[in-house]
Amino acid sequence: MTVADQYAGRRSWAWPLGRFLTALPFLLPSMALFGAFVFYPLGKSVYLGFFISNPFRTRQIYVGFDQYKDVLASSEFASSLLVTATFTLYTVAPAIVIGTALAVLANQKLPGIVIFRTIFSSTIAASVAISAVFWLVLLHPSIGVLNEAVEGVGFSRVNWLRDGGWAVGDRATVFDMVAAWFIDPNWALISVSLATVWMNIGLFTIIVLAGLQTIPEELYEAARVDGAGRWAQFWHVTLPMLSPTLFFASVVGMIFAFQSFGQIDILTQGGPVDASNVLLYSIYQTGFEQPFRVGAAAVQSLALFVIMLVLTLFQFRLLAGRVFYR
Amino acid sequence: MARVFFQDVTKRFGRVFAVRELTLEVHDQEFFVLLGPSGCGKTTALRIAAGLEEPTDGDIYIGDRLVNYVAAKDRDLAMVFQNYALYPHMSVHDNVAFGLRMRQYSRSEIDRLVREVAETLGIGDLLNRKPGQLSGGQRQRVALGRAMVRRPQAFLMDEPLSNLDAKMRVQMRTELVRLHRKLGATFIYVTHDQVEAMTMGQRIAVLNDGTLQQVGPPQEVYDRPANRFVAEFIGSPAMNFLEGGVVRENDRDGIRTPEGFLALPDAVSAEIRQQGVRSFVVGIRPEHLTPVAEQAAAAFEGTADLVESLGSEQHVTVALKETAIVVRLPSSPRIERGATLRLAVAPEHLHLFDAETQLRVGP
Amino acid sequence: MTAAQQSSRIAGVAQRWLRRLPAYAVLTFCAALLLFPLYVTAVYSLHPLTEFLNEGVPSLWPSNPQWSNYFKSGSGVSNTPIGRFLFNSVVVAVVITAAQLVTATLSAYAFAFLRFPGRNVLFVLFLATMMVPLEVAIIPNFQTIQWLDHHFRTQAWLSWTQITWIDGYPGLVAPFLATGFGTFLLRQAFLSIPGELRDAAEMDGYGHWRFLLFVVVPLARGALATLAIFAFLQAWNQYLWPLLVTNDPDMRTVQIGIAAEASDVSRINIAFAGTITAFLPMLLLVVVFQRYLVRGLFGGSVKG
Ligand SMILES: Nc1ncnc2c1ncn2[C@@H]1O[C@H](COP(=O)(O)OP(=O)(O)O)[C@@H](O)[C@H]1O
Ligand SMILES: [Mg+2]
Repeated sequence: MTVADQYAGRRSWAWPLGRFLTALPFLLPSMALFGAFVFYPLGKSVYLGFFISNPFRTRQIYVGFDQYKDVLASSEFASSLLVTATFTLYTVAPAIVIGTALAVLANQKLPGIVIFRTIFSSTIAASVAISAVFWLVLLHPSIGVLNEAVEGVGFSRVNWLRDGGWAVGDRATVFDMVAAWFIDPNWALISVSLATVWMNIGLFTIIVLAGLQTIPEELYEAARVDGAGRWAQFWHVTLPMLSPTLFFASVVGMIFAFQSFGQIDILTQGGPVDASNVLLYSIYQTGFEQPFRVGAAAVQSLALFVIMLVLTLFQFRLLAGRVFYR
Repeated sequence: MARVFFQDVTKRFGRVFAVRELTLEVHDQEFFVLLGPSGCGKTTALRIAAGLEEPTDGDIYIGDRLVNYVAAKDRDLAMVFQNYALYPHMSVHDNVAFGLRMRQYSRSEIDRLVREVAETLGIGDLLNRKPGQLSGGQRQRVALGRAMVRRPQAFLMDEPLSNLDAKMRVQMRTELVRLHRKLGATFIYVTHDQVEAMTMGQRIAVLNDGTLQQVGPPQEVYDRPANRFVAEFIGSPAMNFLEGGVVRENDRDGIRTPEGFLALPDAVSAEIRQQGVRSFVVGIRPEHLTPVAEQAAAAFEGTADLVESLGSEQHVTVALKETAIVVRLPSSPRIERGATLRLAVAPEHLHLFDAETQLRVGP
Repeated sequence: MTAAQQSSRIAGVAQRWLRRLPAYAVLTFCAALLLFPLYVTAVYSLHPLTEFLNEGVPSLWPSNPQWSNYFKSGSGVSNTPIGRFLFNSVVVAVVITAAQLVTATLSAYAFAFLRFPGRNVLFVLFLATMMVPLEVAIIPNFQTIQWLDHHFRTQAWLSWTQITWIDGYPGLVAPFLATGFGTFLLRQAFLSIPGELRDAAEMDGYGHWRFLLFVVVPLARGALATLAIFAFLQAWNQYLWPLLVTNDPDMRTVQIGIAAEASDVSRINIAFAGTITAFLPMLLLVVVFQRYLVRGLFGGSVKG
C-alpha cells in the first residue's frame, strides 16, 4: 500500500469537510446571531400569525389563516399602506434630488470645497430623535419660526389646538402644542416628511458623492473636447453615469421610509386620526400597546417583510454588476 | 536533494483540465523552464508543486518525499509571483523578513539575513521604503529577496519578469542566471516568452492546453521540435508551414507542396517509407531559407510583400502562389518591396510533421 | 519681475476668485439653509426660559446666552439624565460597532479567501439578512429578549451571571452584533486584495488567522473604517428597539432620552441644550471620518 493509497479516502470526501471545518470558526459568530435574530424570528412571526392572544397573553387561540385574512383585509391595514406609500413618495424623491444637487455642487474643484462637502453630508449625524427636535423647533405653534415665515409671505397661521401658547396649560406637552401644526392631516405627514428628508439629505449626498467619484475624469474631458458646456456635461455624462447610484439611493431611501419610526413617534404618534400612521408605527401600536395584539402585529410585520423583500430583490436584479459588483 | 517530480499529475477546475497527466522530472540544481502560451496550465502546475493547489490526481515528490499532503510552508520551497505579491503596508525590510518571523529566528539574526540578501541584490538602501515607492525592477528584487532569505531548496517563479520593461527584462535575465549559479538551488521558471526560455533554461518543457509537449535542452527543442505546436511556438519569426504529399521525382523522394517540390534527405525518406505516412506538413524556419541566383535550382519563387527591417537583419514576407512565407535575411543587400526572390532550403533543414497527428516524422 | 507683470498677475488671481464667487454664493446659501434647523435649536438652547414665555417667536439671536443651560441637571454635561443617556448610547454603539467589525471581518474573510462546500448558499443567506431589517422581526425578537430575561432572573445556573436583558446592555445590543451589509462591504474590499498575497503568506507559513491579522486587516482599514462609522451611526440612532427593551430611565439611550426630555415644557431650553449636546459628538465623528463615508461606500477601498 503506497502513501497515496492511504490518503485516497481522504481525497474523496475528507478534504471538502476539512475546508468546511476551516471556514466554520470564521462564520459561526455571524451564523449564530443571524439564526437567533433574523431567521428564527421570521419563522416565529409566521407561527404567531396563527394565534390570537388575550391582552394578558395568558391564553392563545389558534385561528389558522383567519388572522392573516382579517389583518390584511382590514381598512386600517389599507390605510397604513397608503400612508406608507405617501410618506415614501414625500421623502425619497425630494431627498434624492436635493442630495444629488448638493453632491454635484460639492464636487466642484474649488479651494475649501471640503468644508461644504462636510456640511452637506453632516445631517447623517442627526438621529431621528435629534432631527425631530430640530424640526419641532421650526414647526412649533408658538415658538416655531416656520409659521412666522408662512405669515410673512401672506398665508394665515395654521389653526392651533389651543390658544395661548404652549406655556399655558401646566400639563400640556410640547407635543400637544405641536399637534396644532400637525392637526391638518396633510400637514402632519408633510411635517414628518420634512424632518425625514432633512435627516436623509446627508446620506444621499454621501452616496451620490461616492457615485460621482466612480465617474472617470476622461469622460468629462472627452465631453469638453466635444464642446459640451456645464449643463451638457451634467445631462450627458454625470446623470447617465450616476443612474445606478441614483437607483441604489432610491431603493435605500424606500427601505428607510419603510423603517421610519422615531420621528413619527416624537412628532405625531401616527396622528391625527392615523394620518401619519405608517405600517411600522401601526405594528408597534398593534403589538406593544393595549390590547397587545401580538399575532396581528406579526402578520403586519410579515407584510412589511414581503414588501421590503420585493423591493430589495428588485434592487439586486437591476444593480447586479453595476454598483457593488466589479 | 531538491529534485521535483510530477507523476501523472492532473488538475481539473470543474470541467476545465488545467493540467493533464503531467509527468516531469526537474533535476536537482537545475534551471528548468516551463514554457507555453497563456492559459496552458503553467501557473497551475507551479502552484501544485508549491502546495498551494491540490492535484486532482497524481503525485508530487520533492527529493524522494511524497509531498501531496505536505503543507506549502513545510515543502521548503519559495515562490516569486508574477505581480511580486509584496505586502503594500510593510517596508521592504519587513516584507523580506515576513517569512522568517514564522521560523524561530532571533531578531538580530533576521536583521542580519535580510541585510545580507539585500546587499546581494543591491537593495540595501531601500529597506525602509514601502513597495509603492519602488520601481518595477526594485520590486522584482525585493520579491526575489523575500524568496532567497529563507534559503529554500527550490525556487518557483511565475513569470517574474513579465511586468518589467524590455530593457529591465534583459538585465534581470542575466541576473537571474547568475543568481542561480550562485545559490545552487533548483529553479522552476514559468514563462510564456520563448526568448526567456531559450536564454535562461538548462532544460525547458513546453506545455499546451495542460498537456506536456516536449522536454529537453533549449537547442534540442529548437532543432527538433516534437510536434507542430512546439515548432510553431518556438522561434521568432515563427516557422513557415506548407502542406504536401510525398512523391518521387527524378529518383529522389520529396514533398510536393502547392509551391514547389522539396527534396528530402535519404534518412528521412527511409523512415517515411517505413511509417507509411502519406500527407505532411513541412516546416521551414525563416533563417533556413536562402536566396539563390537566377540559374540555380530554387524551391520557391515569389515577390517580397512586406519588408521589416530590424537594423541587424530583415524579415521579408514573400508572397508565393497560394501562401506566403517569412524569410530572415541579413540587412544587406536591402530587399525592396515587389522584388522577386528565389529561395532554396537545404534538405536537412526541413521539419516534417504528420498532417494527421501533427507529430514529428524522421530524426 | 516688473511691476507691470506683477500687477497683471494679481489681477489674474483676483479675476479667478471673482469668477468663483457665484459658486461660493450658491454653496454658502445651501449650507446656511441646511444648517438652519441646527442653528435655531442651538440659539434656543441658549435662551433663558422667559424668552419662550413672551409673545411671539423667540429671538433668533442669542442676545443673552445662558451657557448654564448646558450644565444644569438634565442637560448636556451634568451627570443626569442626558449625561447618563449619552453614556448608555456610547456603550451600546461602541459594543455594537466593535462586534460588527469582528463578526463581519471573520465572515467576509471566509467568503473572500476560503473555498468550502456551501459557500454560495451561505453567502446568499447572509445577503438575505439585509432584506430582513430588525423592524420586521421586532416582535419575536422582543419575545426572545423577554424569554432570556426571565430565565436569567429565575434560573439559578444563569442568574449568577447577573446579566439583565430587559433594561440591560445585553438586550440593547444583542440583535445587532452581526451584519449582512458589513460582511458584504468587507468581502468586496477583501476581494481586491490580490490572491497572490495569500499564496505568498501561505508559503511563508502564515495560517488564515495570522494572515487576516497581519495582512488583511491592515490593508482593508479603509473599508473597516467605513463599516465602523456606518455601524456606529446606525447603533447610535436606534429608536424603536431601545424604546421596547428599556423601561428604567437610567437605561435609556440618548435618543429615547431626548424625546422624553423634550416633552417637559418647563425646561424646554434645557431639553434643547441636551439635543445639541447629543448631536455634537456625532457631528464631530462625521466631520472627522467624512472621507471614509464617501470613499468606502462602493467597495474596493484597498490602496497599495
Ligand atoms: N482557480 C481556478 N478556477 C477555475 N479555473 C482555473 C483556475 N485557475 C486556473 N484555471 C484555468 O486553468 C487553465 C490554466 O490556467 P493557468 O495555470 O493559470 O495558465 P497559465 O499560467 O499557463 O496562463 C485556464 O484555462 C484557467 O482558466
Ligand atoms: Mg499564469
